[in-house]
Amino acid sequence: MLSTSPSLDALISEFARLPGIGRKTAQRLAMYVLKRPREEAEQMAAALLHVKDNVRTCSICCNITEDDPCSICSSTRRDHRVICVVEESNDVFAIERTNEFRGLYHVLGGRLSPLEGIGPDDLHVRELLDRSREGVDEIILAMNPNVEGEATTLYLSRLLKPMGLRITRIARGIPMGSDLEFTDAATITRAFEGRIAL
Amino acid sequence: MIVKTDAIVLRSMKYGETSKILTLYTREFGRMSVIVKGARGAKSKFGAALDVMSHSSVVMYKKEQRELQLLTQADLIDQYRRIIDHPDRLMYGFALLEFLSSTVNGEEAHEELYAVLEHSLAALNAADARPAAVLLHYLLRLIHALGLGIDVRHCVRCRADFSEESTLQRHAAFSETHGGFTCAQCPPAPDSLRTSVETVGILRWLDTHAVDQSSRLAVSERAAKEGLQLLQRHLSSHVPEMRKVKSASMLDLFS
Repeated sequence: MLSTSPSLDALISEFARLPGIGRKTAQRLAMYVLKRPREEAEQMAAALLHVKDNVRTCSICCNITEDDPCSICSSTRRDHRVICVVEESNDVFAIERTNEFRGLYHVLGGRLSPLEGIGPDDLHVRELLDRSREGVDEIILAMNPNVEGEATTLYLSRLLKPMGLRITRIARGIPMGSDLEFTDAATITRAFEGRIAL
Repeated sequence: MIVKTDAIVLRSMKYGETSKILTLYTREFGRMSVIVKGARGAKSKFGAALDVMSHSSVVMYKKEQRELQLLTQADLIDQYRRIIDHPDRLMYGFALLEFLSSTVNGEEAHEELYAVLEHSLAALNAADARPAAVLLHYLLRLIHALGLGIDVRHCVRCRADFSEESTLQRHAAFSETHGGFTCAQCPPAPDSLRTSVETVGILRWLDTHAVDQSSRLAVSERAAKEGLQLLQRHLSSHVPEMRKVKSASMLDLFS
């Protein structure tokens, strides 16, 4: 026990279990909660329970949702012939922010990571293969541009190509707002390989 | 103290909003953990220099008492594109990194270990690479560099030379206690692992040749599995704190 209140210690311990939160930060957060009105604490507690009670994964795309199928999978305004495969739900939020992509998603729940022992059976690969057999024309592989993302892309493209679908990947290269001068050689090489005709 | 060294990225994990924590194997300080602030931001200056398997020149702010050092600059030396773009090689590349990371702990410079990893990645990246031969060669060199002696050229009991055909008949026996094989004439040790003559021949060949020559050696699937199994067993029996090498079970993922 660090403080004079076991309840406060318990709250600090709970905050400290969150990723990236150390003991000192947990203590600051707990003190903040303590100082705020009771209603705010109730709202926070209710939000935590609500998430646990209502949020699940969509049985089609494996994204997080409160309704099954999710609003994207059940939408008639989306192009159901195109599926964009991403690693995590956060990637869906990032792509949705663009308002450009009108197809569907498939969330793998991670990426192949031999160093962490994460193989295809640990990801939603079988669900992707099942979906790809029904009225799909194109699969867009949108993994993170790193070695493990690359391994996942190569693995999925090998599985999907024999199905006769159009398999594409998102472009890799220099981010908007950055500067060629400070871009590393590997990124510039990829950018040149992915150049397009104007 | 600000230090500069060459490093190969063994592992990478996300930390906080935009940072990364990396495990590096460096030429001058051995294995190190570093934090790289802002490495995952859209305008990060690091690019592929901090990706797993990248060979980079890094600058760190290093404090002796600190377990996690601060990396401030990284310039890519080699990304090993042929490994990354070829799925069969990629899995072997992961295994090279993980065998080192599983057997070596703590900051301690070991020039030979660094060179073994660097040369093996370069060999795996070569146009005509044979991934299984590179991995077996790498493990033999890793075992030697760690001082865990393994003799693949002579019978560990009677010292008969395996280059003479009569010393091996249909199979040999590998003993991790003795750190090598027994010939056909000697009784195998109780803990022995039965091994094909082909595997002994391949290990013998690899032991006497440089890794960049390994493309000349054809390794059957059986010999590759057998060689990997016995070298892995030898390593784990001599390095009790060795962690399980998860990537070794995924080498055939793309086959």
